[in-house]
This record gives sequence, structure tokens and C-alpha cells, in this order.
Amino acid sequence: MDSDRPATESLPRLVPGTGLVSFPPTDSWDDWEEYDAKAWPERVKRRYRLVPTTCFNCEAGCGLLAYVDKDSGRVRRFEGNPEHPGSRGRNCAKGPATLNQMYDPERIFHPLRRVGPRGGGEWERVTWEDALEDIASRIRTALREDRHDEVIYHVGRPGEDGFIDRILRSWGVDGHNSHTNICSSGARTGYAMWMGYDRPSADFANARFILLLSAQLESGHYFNPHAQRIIEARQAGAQVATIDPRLSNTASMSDHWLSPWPGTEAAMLLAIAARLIEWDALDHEFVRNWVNWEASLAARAPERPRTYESFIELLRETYCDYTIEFAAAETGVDPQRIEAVARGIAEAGSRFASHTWRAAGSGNLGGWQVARCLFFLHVLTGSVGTEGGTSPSAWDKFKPDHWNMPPPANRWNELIWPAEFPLSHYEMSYLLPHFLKEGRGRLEVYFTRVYNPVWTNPDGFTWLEALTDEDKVGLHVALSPTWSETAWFADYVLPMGVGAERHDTHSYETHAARWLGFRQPVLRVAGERAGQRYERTYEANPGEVWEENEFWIDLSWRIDPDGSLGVRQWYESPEDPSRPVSVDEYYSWMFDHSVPGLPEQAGREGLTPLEYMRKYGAFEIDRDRYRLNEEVAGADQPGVEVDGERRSGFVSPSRLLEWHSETLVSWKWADAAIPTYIKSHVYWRDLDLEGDERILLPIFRLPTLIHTRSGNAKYLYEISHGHPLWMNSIDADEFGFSTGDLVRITTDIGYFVMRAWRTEGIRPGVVAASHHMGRWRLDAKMGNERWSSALVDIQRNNGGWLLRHKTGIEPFRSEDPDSERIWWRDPGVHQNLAFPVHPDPVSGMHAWHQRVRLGPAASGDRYGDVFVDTERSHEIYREWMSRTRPGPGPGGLRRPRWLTRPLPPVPDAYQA
Amino acid sequence: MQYGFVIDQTACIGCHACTVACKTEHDVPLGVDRTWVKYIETGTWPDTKRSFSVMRCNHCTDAPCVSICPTNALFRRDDGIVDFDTGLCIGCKSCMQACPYDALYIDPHDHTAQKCNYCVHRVEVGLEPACVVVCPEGAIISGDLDDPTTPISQLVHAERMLQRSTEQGTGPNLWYRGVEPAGIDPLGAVDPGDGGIWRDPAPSFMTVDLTPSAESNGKGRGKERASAPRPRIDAPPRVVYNTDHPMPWGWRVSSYFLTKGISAGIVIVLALSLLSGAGVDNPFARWGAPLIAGIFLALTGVLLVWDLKRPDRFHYLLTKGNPGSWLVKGAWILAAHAVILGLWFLFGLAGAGFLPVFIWAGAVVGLGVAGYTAFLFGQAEGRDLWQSPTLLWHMLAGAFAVGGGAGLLAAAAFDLEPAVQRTFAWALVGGTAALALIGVAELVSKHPTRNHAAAMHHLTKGVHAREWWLGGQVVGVAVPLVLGAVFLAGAGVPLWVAELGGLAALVGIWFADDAFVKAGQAVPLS
Repeated sequence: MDSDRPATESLPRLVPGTGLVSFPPTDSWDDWEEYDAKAWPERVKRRYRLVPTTCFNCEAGCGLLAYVDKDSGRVRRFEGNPEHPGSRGRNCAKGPATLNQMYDPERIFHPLRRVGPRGGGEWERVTWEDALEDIASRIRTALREDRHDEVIYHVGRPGEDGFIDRILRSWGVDGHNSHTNICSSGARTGYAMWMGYDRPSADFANARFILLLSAQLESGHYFNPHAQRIIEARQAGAQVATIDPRLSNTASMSDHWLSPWPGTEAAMLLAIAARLIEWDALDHEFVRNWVNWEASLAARAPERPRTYESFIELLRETYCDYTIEFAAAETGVDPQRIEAVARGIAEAGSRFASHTWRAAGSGNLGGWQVARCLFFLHVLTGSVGTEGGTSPSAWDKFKPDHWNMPPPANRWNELIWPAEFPLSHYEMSYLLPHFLKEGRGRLEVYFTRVYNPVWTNPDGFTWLEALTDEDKVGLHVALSPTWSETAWFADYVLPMGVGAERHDTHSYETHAARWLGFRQPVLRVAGERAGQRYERTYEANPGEVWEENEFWIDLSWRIDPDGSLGVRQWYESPEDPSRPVSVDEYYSWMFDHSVPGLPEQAGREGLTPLEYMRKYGAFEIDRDRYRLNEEVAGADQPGVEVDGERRSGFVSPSRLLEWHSETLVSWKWADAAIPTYIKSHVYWRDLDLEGDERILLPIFRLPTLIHTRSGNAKYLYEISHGHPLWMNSIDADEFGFSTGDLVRITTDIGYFVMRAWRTEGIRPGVVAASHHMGRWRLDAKMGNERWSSALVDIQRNNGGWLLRHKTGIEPFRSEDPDSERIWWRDPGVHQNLAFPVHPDPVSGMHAWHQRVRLGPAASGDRYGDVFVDTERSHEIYREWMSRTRPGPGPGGLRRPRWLTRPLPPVPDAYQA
Repeated sequence: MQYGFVIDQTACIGCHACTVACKTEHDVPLGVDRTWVKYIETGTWPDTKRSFSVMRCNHCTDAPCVSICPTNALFRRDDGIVDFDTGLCIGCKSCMQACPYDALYIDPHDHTAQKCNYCVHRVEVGLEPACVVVCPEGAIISGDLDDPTTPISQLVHAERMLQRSTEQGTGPNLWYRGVEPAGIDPLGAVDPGDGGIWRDPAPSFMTVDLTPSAESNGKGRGKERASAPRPRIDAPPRVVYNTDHPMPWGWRVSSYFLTKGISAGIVIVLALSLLSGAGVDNPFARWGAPLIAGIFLALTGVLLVWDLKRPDRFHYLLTKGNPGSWLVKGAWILAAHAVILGLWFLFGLAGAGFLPVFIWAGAVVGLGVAGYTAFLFGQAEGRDLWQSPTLLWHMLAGAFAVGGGAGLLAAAAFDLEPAVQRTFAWALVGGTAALALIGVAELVSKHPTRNHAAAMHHLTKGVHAREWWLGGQVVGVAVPLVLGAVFLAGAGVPLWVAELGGLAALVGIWFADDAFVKAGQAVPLS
């Protein structure tokens, strides 16, 4: 070693000898000293404050620990938060990449207002004051003029529970629009029809057999927390099976990969159910106690004796055609593989865990029945709510109360909750531009919040048409840390903090426990620990980047400055009603009053509950929550008589697990009243497979990216950016495609041009392309992240829209020298543009899979071309709308009252 | 005490968290990685399997990167961690040739060699490396392999685990649990270079130019289907995700072979001419030969320094040298050669005194100049082609051939006496004949390793075959051999025949060396 190095005193080791630990102990988080990695082997000491927060990239909400450098005030890196019960200190690639997102030179630092026509690309910098005042006055006018339905908030990743509901309630609007119907409505509906709860909580860690219809080892709800526990179980001897037409990383790590024809999954699951019945591998005590067998018999076989045995006989008869041989023929999966899964489930009994979220449920017409058929297996084996089984989500999710909650609105917004979809889960958000096109209404103020419908939703050109029509959309406000395709068509682009620059709370059903996570702006918290005082988070954030909570509070205050609209009262500080509530006051109230055990735990450490959450970032309320349906219910509580005792049961109408759903019957869906197999809109036997028709799976995800929100993370995009069309070698040979050849993929409303990738990782007859890539911008320097987007030209011609790449991804000059080192060029192809809307008539889910025709690119086609005829897309919309069976239902209701929905209005509003 | 890693591929889900955690920990620029995840696929649908393997420095007990590093920028600590000091690195890239694991890269920001250093800045305060902490599956296990109480050493002793490229004898301290063997064997899976699952295709591969001017190439037969039974592709293990590792050494190194060969060879052959009675009191022996040799030696220096990524630090070779590195030994040999040539030139200008002493000293050092590269390349443990025992003889024979060729080209200008001309011609013929014999020996001998066999394939049948056969063997060996022999055989054969042969040798042997340098590096290491 060099002798001229400054001799410095060595830092102490955390453990003696050669031992190593994962994290600095929590008591050192306020003053942690370690060596600088870059300066090494020179021992340059750096002092940090370690501030816990929460990742905002996917829905899992894993804990992060920010290393805030005391000298520079910059975050040096993000690690996991060892105090977080869900993620337990570990992360996927997207966690540490938060650093890229925070210091992305492409992010927006100041509020911008468009100049000239919307989408014209001219912007001016404005003050937050001006922006807030303008938006508030528009909303104020709408509320005054009783045009409440013209105010809509459209959210992509919510990342929080309840805060925005409170805002919208205080305005008295039914204006919550979510992305759920392009994501998880299918699975939610399937689960809800059984038990009222619309999500599963699989206790993977304790399972003996795990069946996945999603790809938890690389994506999904909830990637990192679930992947940890699935692998933990597998290491302990559990078997894992994955049903996916495509070889996902999850499928690769499974003991069984079943690669069926897309849309036939329910047939396979019902065959497994039939096998379990045939083998009598049922938990009869559970089924007898917890399934609505009496009502099912009464409705479906009233002539039979009302005995449990005759119910089992009815089940056997109902599914007798679902033999393994039938399922093998229908799904194209080897019968032995199906049999092996059935055997594994039978042997696992109550320790059978499963999950489905998107995948088949969101790809297919009738996909909601896939989740219902999957959960059927739990019902039969009694693996509902057991250790190692699968519970309702709500058992393992904690929702704290919010301070000073306003009453629900007395309205029903039919632009969000149209009569055609009385059972939808939930808002029919992706149909909004078609509703506007049909003249069902207009919008005065439309917020898109970390949401990018022009890119993410199907039929983006129809969105583009709606957003550029200033009669239909009065004011479009995009709240986002970065540019997006949608923000380009906004009137205001308001920069909001990334995950580490905002407050909120969240809780997810990652395992058999309930926890509450606290996301916090790390620079603000670090500054406050150092003695700085901030009124607002933007004072600590970079540029003029706000946090949303303070935005909503200030906006609400300005909507009603004198209190005459009744809005301001919900925002007056409990300390001083003349000023708006602060986030500290807000969360102090929540943690003081509504998190069981937190005040006591904080007290033991001599902290206030808020101080505790600021220090640790998360709190576990309780764990090992099993069989909660058996809890004895008080006389005044909802419950059901089981085994001579009133028990709390589930939240279905009968509080039992509903094999036969009377709700579906009374809302005109008697043909789907029990778990059945609905043939998909991409049913393979309907396809011209001898010709050029194939099924396109456009929605699979990569472990490194997250929808359209990771284009600002250079390290993630460096790992994954290529966007090939997966094609089995058999198909490639039939079409004569080699890897790299240009393929034109024709949908019902247009086409796009991609490059082929010949692989053994997908079923023949099926092609697939990841849904992350294909980002674009219309301006050379702004409008989207240059790490990840193509510069494109969009033109209207030949009766449609044509998007064409002008350049691929290219290096650029910025304050980050890495931007000149970008070496990848492929921006991918924006395939979603060429997909028409496919609303499932029951769940409202957009059925993503596409029937496509493949062929070599035509003369003049270029890589990345997308052509769409939006008149045709509106026709397809109408075709699918004709499949709906509109409400109102029994009692003149717009929607069954028991069925959950976000921001439920007052009961009266359910009356049509 | 020996820190090491176990990577549990039965738990690893290929999520790349380790890659990103490492990059944020060390602020690693785009384009290079200290750790990455390789994906391969095996089998055909529906029995396809994708397997992951995490790649990085193996912290070898006998680390070849440390041996070859000329400036001790790479060093092995007492705790077994192979660390580096960017302040010492001259960017010679020899470590990238020595490492059989593709672990090192040149940092595009400060142009020094870097790699996984086990997060030693964390380890010194008792924290695990960043990749270990982030891993969702706990699939990366760190700790002291020599301490029987640590989980890692217990795991290593309890189970049979695999390691990468053990045949290189580097003593790697990274073990793979439950890995698909083809995933850690650089030659175990074919890499079609098509970018695979989610990367850009390699530029050499692309049939689709992703720049917008690319229009359809009309490929794909469309409706013209094969009606014959569907052919199933033979599906050997194939790489579907990996990172790129560009060749560290290129034309500058190939050219340095030639320039130093000329510089050494012309002196050696001149010395031999003295044996046949040639005199030294002529312009060529007095100042021409040292001038030519000096110019080519200077060119050698220029090429070597030019190839450094930190040319500003070239003097570290002499001031901070690692005496075990043949780069350093070579630098001293080249320096000695320069001193001798300089003195020879000055004395030669003054008269003919002492010249035989300088010529013979130059010849002896010249053998070192010509031959030391064989030992340097021998230290490049990652390149099995370069480990050949014939390389020393190849280098010496090459020096004779190009020294002879250069001497012949100088003959007319200096009006060399026929005996000296003939000595240069004999050197040309002898050198090229030896090259031919050595080439044949290489071709017929058994390849010691698969890496060597693969490199020989690239050299003689693959991408470098044209350069090797046409440039190297025909122009560089056969033509000079024949023309030199014709010149020597027939009295009265004009000098230009030999000169032409000499020129062919200079050109052709450059091609041969270039093919050799590149073929050695064309074999994947990861």
C-alpha cells in the first residue's frame, strides 16, 4: 500500500473477528459512520443519517433505508429496511434503483403550464401559487355549479390507503378513478364472488404445495415479499407449480411448469377440482361448515334432499365432464402434469397456497372465473385461512383511520361507474374516452396522478383524441415526478416527489400478519433530525418538487378559502384553525388513535407514535392470523351461525363461501352463478392456427421494470430494454422467421412492427411481448425520459394514426455523465396503442390478450411502427358493450351493496 | 482467513437486485458491471428450463490478476479479498486477460481497472457486501471460509458445490450451490448474440437496424409454409441473457508484436552476420541499424503507452512496478534495449570502436525483447491460446523473420555487403520456416483445454481464419519463405526478390499476430 496516504484512525467493527452483519444497529441510525466506497482503499470516512422510507416502484411497498450524507445532504444509497415486516430488509432491483429516480437529470423540477394548443409541446414555468389558484378556482366553480361529476382523479399506483378518499369526500365528489380495470379486476371479481374479499393472502412460507397463476418470483403482488417466502417454503420441501403459457422466471424455478393455451386455465383448475372430489380429498368439516351448500342446493337442485352429501354429489355431477383427459385436450398440457398438481394439492391439504392476480385473469374474456376456479381448490381442501393456506386479503392488511374523515359523497358518477357494469371491480377507467366520445359527459378538471393512460391503457390514440379535445376535457393536471406520454397532453405538469420524497401509509397482505408502513420524505426527515424546521416538504425536496399530501391539503384550502363550500373545515389545523393541517399533525393523529399497540410500543422506547414511525418506518400490529372466520361474533356484529355458534365468517352476502352466487343470478348472470369455464375471446379452437392467426400475450412483466414508471432508472433500463416478440421455434419455422426479423402484428384495429425472438420459452401458437417497453416522446429533449424513450412522429393519415420512430434511444448530455454512456438503442414498440378495449361484461376487466395475424413486415414498414384506426376501435368498443347486461338490479340498485368499491358513496346513491 | 461467497442457485430467482445494489453502492457507470446475472435456457418446450448464475470476481487464492498487474494496483489482502487501488492503475488491461472470469472492466469514468472488491469498505466495519444484503432470497452468502464456525464454511464443507473454470488453477473462493453446470461454463451454452430475452442484440448480430432508417428487409416467408413435418430445432443450452465483454487488446498490441520484433530481430541478425565475417565499419552497423531498431523500439513504446487507459501513468511501470509482472520485466528489457541502442548509435557516429560489444549486447537483450511477450502472455491465465509452450519459439522465430525482412528492405539504402544481405535472407527463410513448423505443431497437437480448442477454432476455422491463413500463413510465411529461398538459391537473383519477401513477412506476420491476439480473446470467459 501507498505510504503517502493520510493515516486515519480505523472505524470500529460492528462485530469482532471476521463476522459480518447486514445492517447498522438501529440505535446508530442517527449517526452512522463508514468508509467511502469510491475513495477506497483510502479510508475516507463518511457520516450518514439512516432514514427509513418505503419503495414506490411496485405495489409491494418494501421498506427502504436511505443513507443521507451529513455533509452533502444527498442520499448516497438506498438499502432495505430491516425493521419492515413485509420485506425484512431485502429488496428487488427496483429498491436500490430509487436512487436513480431521485437524481434523474430528466425529472421535472418546476411546475409547467402549457402554452398554445394542448399537446402542442409549448410550456412555460409557473409558480405553484398560480397553478394551485387556477386549478382551485376551476374546481370551486364546478362544485358551486353542481358539476361535481366533472372532477375526476385518476390514479395509477396508489401507494397509500385512504388519504385521497378523504380529499375526494371533502369535495363531495364521486371522482375516484383507478387503474384496477386494466390490472386486476378479473381476479378480484373471482375472489369476491366466493367471499366478498377481493384478494388472496397466501401464507407461502408455511405451505407444502404452491400453485401460481402469476409470476411472484419476478413481479406482481407482491414480488419481493412473496418471492422470499415462496423460496423459503421450497427450500423447506414445498413443491411449486406455475401455470403460464410463457416460461417466466417463476415457471423456471418451479417444480412443475404447465404451459396451457391462454384462456383455458379454468378448465384445468376445474379438472383438478373434479379430481379432488373423486379422490375424496376434501376437508368435509370445512366444506360443511363454511360453504353455502344449503342455499346452493336450494337454488340449483331444489328437488334433492337438503343434505351435505347430496351437495357433494351435486358437485361431483356438475364437474364430472372435467376429466384430466378433457383438461389435457382443452389446455394442451400433458395430463400427467395436471395430475401431478392435483396430487400435490391433495397431499398438501390445508397447507396449499396459491395466487393469481393478473395473467389469465386479466388476459381473457371470462378471466374472472379463473380466480374463482382457483379458490375453489382452497374451498374443497379447507386451505382457506389456514397456516400454509390462503386467506382473505383483509385479514392480513391493516387500514388505519384517517383524521377528521368527512362523510361519503351523495353522488354516483356514471362516467366512472356506468350502468352497463353493475358488478365491475372497479372503475371503468379505460372506457372514459369512449364515454366522452359518446357524449356521456365532460370533465372540468381531470387529474392524472402517476398514471399514464395514453401509454398504458389500450387504445391510446382514442385517449389522445379525448385529451386534446378541450371541450371534453377542460383542464388536465398531471401529477408526476417525470414526463410521460400522458403528461404531454396536460395543461399543468406538477412535479411530485418520488417514493423517498413524500408521506403516506400503506399495508399489504404479504404474509399472515398485519403491518403498517410509513413512507416519508427522507431529506426532510434527515434535515429535521439535524435541527432544521420545514413548513412543507418541498423545502427539503430537490427543486420545487412537492409531496402530494400537502398539494391536496393546500388545493382543498384554496377551493374554499372562506369555508362557505364546507370544504375548508376538513383541513383546519386542530392547533390553529386559521391554517391548514400539517402532515405531522395528520399522522400524529393517525398513529396516536388508530394503530393498535403502536402507542404502547413507542412509549416503551420513550417515543411518541409519530417519532416511532419516523424512526423505524413500519410497525407490525399482529401476526399468525389464521381462521378468523371462526371467531365468535357479537350479537351486534355481522356473523353467521356455524356449528351452533354465531361466527364472523366472510363478507359475502351469506357470510359463507358462496359456490352458487345468488348475486350473479339476480344481476342477470345465472349462467355464471357457479365456478365455470368461460371460453376466452382468444379461445384457440376459434383461431385460424393453420393460417396466420396466433394469440398475443402482451402483459408479462420483467423483474427489473415497473409499468411505465421505471424509465427514469438508468440501472434498470440498462439491464432490460430489448423488446422482442417471443415466438416458439415451431411457429418461427412455419412463418419462416429468424430471430431479429421484422414481424407485422395485425390486431382488430391496426398493426405494429416488432422483431422476432425464436425461443423454446413459449407455447407454440402463442406469441408474447413484455408490456414495459415502447416508450416515446414527441420532442427531442423533453416529454419523456431519454434513458428509455424513442423520439417519434405521430401523424394522421390513411384513415388512422401512425406512430413512427425518428430515433431510437441515444446518449445525451446532462449533469449525469452516464447519460452520454447509454449504449442500448432499442426503445421497444408501443403495442398497447393497437389494442381495442375489451371490457369483460361481468368484471369490467380489460381482456388484454389479442387475436392477431402475423406476417413479415410489409414493404415500407419500419421497426416500431404502430398504425391504428380509432373509428374501428370505437366499433369494437360498441361490440363489447353489447355483451353487457346493464343494471339496475334488484331493488333498483346500481350495484350490489355488499360488493366493495373504492370511495363508496352514501347508501342512497346506490339507488338508480 | 479467507472471505468468500456461496451463491445458492437453488434460491436465486434471477432478479438482478445484486447488480443494481452493487452499482448504487459503488456508483458503477453504465456499460460495466461488477456483478451480473447470466441466464441460459435448456431443453425444448414444454420442458424448457431457464437457469440463472451470478457472475463476479472469485477472489482467487492464487489470483492471476494480481500476478500480472504491473503496478500492484491489484492486491490480495490478508483476509483473502482481492482488492484494487485505482490510484495505481495504469489501465494496461492485462488483468482482464489474466482473469478467467471476466471479472474486471475498465471504468469509463477514471479509466482504471475495477471489479468486485467484496465491498471491503463495508467489511472493514463489519457489514456484509451490498449484494448480500439486498438479495431477496438470501442466495448470496458471505463470510470467512477458513473459520469452521461460519455458516458459509459449514455449507461449503457439507455439500459438493461447483466452481467456475477450476482447470485454471486459480483457487477461486466462490462456490455455486445447485447451479446448472452449463450456466457457469463459458462454453457450456451457445450465445447466439441476439440479445436474448431483454437486451439489445449485439451489433454484429442485428438483422434489424433499430435506427429508424431500417425498413423491412422482406425476410420471412409469410404464407409460403413448409408443408413437411415441423422441424424441431436441436436445442443445446443457449445464453438468453448476459453482459458484453469487449476485447481488451486490439490492433495496437498486434502492431507492438511487429515493431518490437523488428527492433530486436534486426540487431540479432546483424550480430549473426558478424559471425560470417561481416565488418562493422559501415554506416549500417555504425548508426543505421541502431537507428532503425531505435525507431521501431520507440514505436513500440508509443503503441504500448497509447494502449494504456491511463497513459499519464506509464512511468508507474518503472517507479511503482511489480517485479513479478512480465509487463514490468518487459518494460525493463525494453529500457535496456533502448540504452544499448542509444549508446551504440552515439559510439557509432563517433567511429567503429566497441561496436561489436554493443551489437552483441543488443542481440542478447533483443532475444529478451522478442521473447518476453511469451511470458507476459503466459501470465494471461484467461487466454489459453496464449499459454502455449511454443509461444516463446514463435516469438523468436517471428523476430528473425521480421528482423530479416526489415534488414533486407534496408539493404539497398545502406548498400549492404552481400554477406550481410544473405544473413538477413537466411534469417527471413529460417524465421518463416520455423514459424511454419511451429504452426504445424500447434495444429496437430492436442488442445490442452476447451478454451484453447475454441480459440484455435476461431483462429483456423472461425472468424479470424481468413486473416490467419491468407494474411498470416500465405503472405507472412509461404511467400517470404519461397522468395527468400529463391534469392539464396540462385546466384544473381536480384535483391528485390528478397526485399519483396521481407515486405510480405512484415505485412503477413502482422496479420498472423493480429489474428492470434484476437482469437485468444474471442473465447467467452463468462
